[in-house]
Amino acid sequence: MRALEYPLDAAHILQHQRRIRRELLEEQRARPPLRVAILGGSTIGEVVRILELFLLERGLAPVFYESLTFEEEVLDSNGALFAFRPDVVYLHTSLVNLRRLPEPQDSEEMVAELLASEMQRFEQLWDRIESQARCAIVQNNFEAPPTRPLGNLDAYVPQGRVRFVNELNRRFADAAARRTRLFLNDIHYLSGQLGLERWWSPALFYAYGYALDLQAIPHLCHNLAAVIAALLGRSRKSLVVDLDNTLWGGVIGEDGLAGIRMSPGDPVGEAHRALQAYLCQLRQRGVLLAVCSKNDPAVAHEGFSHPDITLALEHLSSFKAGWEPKPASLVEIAHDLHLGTESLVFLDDNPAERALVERTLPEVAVVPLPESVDGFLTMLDRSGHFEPAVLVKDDLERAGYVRADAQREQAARDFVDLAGYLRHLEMKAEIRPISQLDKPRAWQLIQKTNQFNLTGRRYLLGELEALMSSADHLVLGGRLSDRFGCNGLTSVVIAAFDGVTARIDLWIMSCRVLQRQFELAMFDCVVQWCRERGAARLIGHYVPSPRNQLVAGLYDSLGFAQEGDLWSLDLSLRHTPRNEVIQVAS
Amino acid sequence: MTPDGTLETIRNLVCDLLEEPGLRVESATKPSELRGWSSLLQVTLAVALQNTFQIRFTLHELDDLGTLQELASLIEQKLHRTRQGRP
Repeated sequence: MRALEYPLDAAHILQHQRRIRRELLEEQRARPPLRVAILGGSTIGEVVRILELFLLERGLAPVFYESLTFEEEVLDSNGALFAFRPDVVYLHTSLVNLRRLPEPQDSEEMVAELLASEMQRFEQLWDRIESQARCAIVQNNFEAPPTRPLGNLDAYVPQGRVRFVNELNRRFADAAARRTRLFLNDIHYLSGQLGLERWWSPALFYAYGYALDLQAIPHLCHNLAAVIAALLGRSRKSLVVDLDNTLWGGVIGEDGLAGIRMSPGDPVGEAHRALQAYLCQLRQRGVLLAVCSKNDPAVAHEGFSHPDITLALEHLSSFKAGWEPKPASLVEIAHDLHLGTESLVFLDDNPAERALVERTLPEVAVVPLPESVDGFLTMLDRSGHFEPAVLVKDDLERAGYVRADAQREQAARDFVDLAGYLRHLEMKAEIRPISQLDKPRAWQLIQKTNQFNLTGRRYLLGELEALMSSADHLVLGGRLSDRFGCNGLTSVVIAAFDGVTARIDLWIMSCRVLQRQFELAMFDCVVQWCRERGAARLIGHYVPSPRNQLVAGLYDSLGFAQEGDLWSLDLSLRHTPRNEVIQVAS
Repeated sequence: MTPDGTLETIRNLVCDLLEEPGLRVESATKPSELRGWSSLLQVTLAVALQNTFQIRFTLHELDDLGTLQELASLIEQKLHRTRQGRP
């Protein structure tokens, strides 16, 4: 919904929140439930109301637990909070919740002690939540102080409040890097972006106890919803960009290669260069880039031979240039990238093209670009569409995978039969229980995979952790490599044991390794592990979704017998390995 | 804006917040007396009025905004002072 996308009209959202909520609830979409505990150290009423809108907008069905006394709530041994079974605990704290800020007469030791005691206080809360609920914790860091008794010295003498807050924020960052379930809501950045004077309203604090101005709440919630959506793997995955007057200045079909603008020193060129550089950064962290341009294909490609272009053709995972309507090209791009159109973000300077895409493919996020190119980058950045939850090594390598994919496709064309091609790939697989090291990637894969996904189950990072250490569960991960490179972790199976029965709760595989018999290799290993654990029967379950038709017949093809909703395999019979082309180490 | 216009704007805001477009709200009513009203809406109303009329309420005024009529007079006073060039 446009009202809930950047740039936000905070007054409009606050005034029409009931209508916006009703309209969101009228949208026909399947909404997974989400249990959010909001623990405040200041008034939270409006935060809850507005956050609900942004989470509904993200396709979730949130239910809330609210409390104004964050410390008591967490430390209370009766634990109404934990009985709520939150998926996410949000600690909405800010400067007003610190026990005290340094005073000019404090000694350096006193300030150090103050810092240590505040850290200890929050560490204790996080510890307690982590041990009582296997949920994600989203924690505000701190905004800069609204006033500076020491003036500019405040930023650098030990007694300075600005310095104190900076130091506390650094320690929060360290804690979040160390704790896998702690995520920061960076209100330090957000309040700077908005301006401290618009962030903090003394009147609203004194009169109603709000630690931030009402006008800032929609901004807070927009940011927070992006963090929560990212935790659930609901961030978007690909940016589709137009060429003329978007990626570069000018129209290549008319101005020619020498006429388009992306050179240093040229004001318009600089703005396009900054956008290109940002796109490269998105790509480095795993966002797939694609081009959708109304151009003659040869002419469109020619633009990438410009000496000053930052983006190279091989950075693009899909390239559509032609004269068909853009919505049709977007559908093709999604197909090329094995994504649904709801994973795409569309960047185009032309309002008519944007309007057409908005109307035809409402699930695509369309960035409302301003008229002037210098505003493009900010608009894209603030959208929050690509918020990552963690920086996964595999993401950084994804661009390389896509290149290796192209080489594999070339090799496939050189072979007449599939079996010959698969043998030529010289595939090797490692299939073993997920290690701590693989955990972030495994979790990400579970959140992201839609097509080869038998049950569609999603897990919170904490839940996955619990299953990994459970004696009654097997969490198996598979990585596949071949002569063109390594594909990384691309398949996960979670099986639950109940006496002599093993049940497959989750079976997913990345589309990158479809038709490589990798699912057969995984299946052989699952059978082997289950037998070793003494299981006599293996149960499978296929839960249809709009995207997983691909695996509707999987259990049938593997020799399972249908029993009502379930599929069953007798493990006491002899098992002939199904995979014939992958060499497996387990 | 005329005094009547001010009153009408406040009335519309109150109806918007309650999402009851046709609601009849008498000028002698305090918003807090309306069914479905909450302290939350009270804050939202105060902030929305500050934005709409480009005025600031003092802390004392925020304490009790009064009836719709009293609120309209208060805003009128503030607007008048602004027109006179006084803060």
